[in-house]
Amino acid sequence: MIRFLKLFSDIFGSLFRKHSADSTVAKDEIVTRYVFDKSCFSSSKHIVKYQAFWPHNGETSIFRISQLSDADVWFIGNEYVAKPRKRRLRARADIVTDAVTIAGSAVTGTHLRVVAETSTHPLHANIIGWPEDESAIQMVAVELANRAVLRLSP
Amino acid sequence: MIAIVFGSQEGFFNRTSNSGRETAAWVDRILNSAREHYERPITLDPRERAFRMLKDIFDSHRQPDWDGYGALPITHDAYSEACRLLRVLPKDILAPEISADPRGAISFEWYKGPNWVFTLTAKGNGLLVYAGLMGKDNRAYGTQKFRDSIPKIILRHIRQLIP
Repeated sequence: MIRFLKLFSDIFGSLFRKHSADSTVAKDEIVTRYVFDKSCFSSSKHIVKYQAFWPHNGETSIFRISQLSDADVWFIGNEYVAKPRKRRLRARADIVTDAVTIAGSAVTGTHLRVVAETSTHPLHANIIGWPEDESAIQMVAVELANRAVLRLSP
Repeated sequence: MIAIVFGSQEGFFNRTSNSGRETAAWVDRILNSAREHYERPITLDPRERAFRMLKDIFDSHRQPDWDGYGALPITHDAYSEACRLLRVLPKDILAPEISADPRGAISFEWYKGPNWVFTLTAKGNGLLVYAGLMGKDNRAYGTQKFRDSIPKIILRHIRQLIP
């Protein structure tokens, strides 16, 4: 509990103040997608699969983690993402915001971007701007997975 | 009298005394056959292994929201189509890695390294969705009809990733 409060007062508070007025996420910020199923990664090849980034209702839910320690990143994943879902966190896929934009440019006319969406958590964001065509979505998700780094749950 | 000894280190072996040569020879044959069977490595044909993996993936992803983000359960049509696809995959193509897809589909993936990956998805509607990276800045994606054989364009892409 103490750890939880400290996290909010020391880090989240300042970040929230810094970002709440502007939904744009800086190009060099690292974001992560928490992963619950083995189909979304390969632990033997140590890679992320495209399924990890598959959008739901046109957006992929992620968290901004640049200012956090590795332990705090897992803490957020467990407390705010896994617990409400009653799931066990298996891994996460880290990616730089700029790489998200580049991945989107793989498909003509697609402008993939990361926008803050803080209704559930100050560091929550979404990847939006997904293409309409299903194979194009798959292509963009493959590009994202190719640029992401897999971190297995400790 | 026949004395039979089972060794744990070197598989089965036997020792027979000289009373009743025919019986001893018969026991010898049976034990030799048992030893050969025992020492044969338990390995499955890669294709058989792929079919088993496919069944496991299907069985373990039949509940909605299996990914925690609203994934659809794998449909029986998708499973049947994936089986068909695996069956017609040419023998020179290595068995792919199989996984569930949030659309209620099954995905096949061939991975060679960074920037070299090809994904093929069976949704059970007679259309295969594919997307792949064949080297840096060389990508391909699209949808192809699937009936009795895998479309040539898809095979061509896959073959770029296998040795």
